[in-house]
Amino acid sequence: MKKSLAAALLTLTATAALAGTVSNEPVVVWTDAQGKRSARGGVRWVRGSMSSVEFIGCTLRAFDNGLSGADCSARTAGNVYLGCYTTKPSLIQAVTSINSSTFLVFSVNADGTCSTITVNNNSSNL
Amino acid sequence: MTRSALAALSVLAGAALGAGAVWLALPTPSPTPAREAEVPACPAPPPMDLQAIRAVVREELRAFAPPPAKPEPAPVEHAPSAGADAARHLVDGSLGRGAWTDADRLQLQALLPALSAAEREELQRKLVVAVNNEQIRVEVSGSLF
Repeated sequence: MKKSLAAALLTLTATAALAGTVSNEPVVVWTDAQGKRSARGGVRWVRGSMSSVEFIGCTLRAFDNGLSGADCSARTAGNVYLGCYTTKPSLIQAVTSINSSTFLVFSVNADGTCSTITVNNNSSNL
Repeated sequence: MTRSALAALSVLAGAALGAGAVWLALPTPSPTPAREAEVPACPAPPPMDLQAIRAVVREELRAFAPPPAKPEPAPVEHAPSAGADAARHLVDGSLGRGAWTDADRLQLQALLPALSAAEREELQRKLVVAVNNEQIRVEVSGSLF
């Protein structure tokens, strides 16, 4: 009796800890009607995916001469790679807010620079 | 005490009371007003020049204004660096092979800090455009640089 009660309580606790909606979408790379390419994906979800090649994320760089930059990249499970780089402060600022709850979207100009970087931090991405 | 003495005392007391009442009823004497002749006359101020007033106000405002902000020092750009040739050689070599590997990335990471912003941007553009156009195979796991 006590054991079954404890098991029921444990189940309830575990269920409560994982409550809420969860978005689960793989990394996607697409091209819009104007020919601009973009990538999107949830950082946490991709980390837990079964694919060994899929990833999405950004890197921040700062140098001792006062210059800084960032680059974002993504690869789909189908091995399509998309990347961009930027030295624009507003885009660099967006990169600083990426964490494990981030759903990241970035768009790329034809010259390889980042056009937009969208950082969506949401519990549904965890 | 005789009757006449009592009468005299009561007359004196009545007179004293009456005098007190009259003293209380009288208004308090005001201090003697200063005579105008005793106040020294101020000389008339000289006519003020409007331009002079403006100049004084400007001077005062300037004295209290915060000092102008110093311009931010411009980021120091490296002169054409020794590492630039090595970095170009690295990227061009990978483009020629058609692959960008973990070893290439490690070498570039070591060279990047020595490059100027323009040199760095040139290499990033060359590599990113090649990757996005599928002219080069990406063999690194994660970021290109």
